[in-house]
Amino acid sequence: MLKIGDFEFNSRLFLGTGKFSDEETQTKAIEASETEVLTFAVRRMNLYDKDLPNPLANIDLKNFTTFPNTAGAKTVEETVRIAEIANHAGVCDMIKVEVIGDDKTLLPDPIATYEACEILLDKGYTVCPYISNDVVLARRLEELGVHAVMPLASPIGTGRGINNPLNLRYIIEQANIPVIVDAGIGSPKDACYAMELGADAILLNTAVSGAEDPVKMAKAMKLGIEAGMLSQEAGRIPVRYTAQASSPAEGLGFL
Amino acid sequence: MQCIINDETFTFDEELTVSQLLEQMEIDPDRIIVEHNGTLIKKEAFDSHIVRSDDRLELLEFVGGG
Repeated sequence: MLKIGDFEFNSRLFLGTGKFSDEETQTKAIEASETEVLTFAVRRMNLYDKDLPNPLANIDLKNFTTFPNTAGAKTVEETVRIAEIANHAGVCDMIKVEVIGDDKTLLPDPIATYEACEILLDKGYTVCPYISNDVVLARRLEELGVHAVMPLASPIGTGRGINNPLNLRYIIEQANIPVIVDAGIGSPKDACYAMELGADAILLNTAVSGAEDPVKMAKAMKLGIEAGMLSQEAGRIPVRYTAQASSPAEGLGFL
Repeated sequence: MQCIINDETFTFDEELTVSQLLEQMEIDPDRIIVEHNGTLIKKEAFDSHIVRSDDRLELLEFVGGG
């Protein structure tokens, strides 16, 4: 059982809802993933194309733990404002604090992230910041009181998998709060690897919505994360430099 | 009267409630979040909350995101 603040989850897959081709595919992918947590964003309505497809409009968010992001925010003020809007609308069980500090890499601004978390914690939110693989920032955010940290695997939407397993491992080993690996997951092996490294959960979006068959990939991700979690609990063998025979060395006298 | 909605000027015949404004703009009130002069308006208040000339509105919604 995964606990984040007052929330408890059986599933360790948190699913983003962006960039699905159509509503039916999204609905089936959500079902196949067996996720309990959905992430989404706040945007201005397009006033000239009000019938623009919005698959999210047809999902009953009451059936999920709502986890809006603050994507699009580049300042502390914008981040807090987006959180307040989501909270006002009654769909902000937890907030993913995402403050982009670089337009090219979409890497987060660590200072603005810290300051926004401080304000949102004061306001009583369940706060989960998206961060780079910064071990010290992760520790400082935990000391501040955030409910989970969300270090990236690799930059958003790249599908490059775990770019910095060493730092990710450092973050996981020091953490007394859940670590959710977020962004850059490309395939189930990445998600499995993150779980084997000791992550508590995975947040992914494009890896599913951008797959040729998003529904099948949603199931594959679920299974990959479950496999990684089982492996984490089972304890893998150490990596050795030299070969060690699996079959007995004795009893070969007949050869 | 004129008011600013999502940074653009819109003209209406007279002052109206948020509900009436959304109806005239053919916007489904269920999927919208309304911010009026910097203050978020609760859905229950859409029928009574008045929009006046030169007011600023933000019409927001939830969209897919990760």
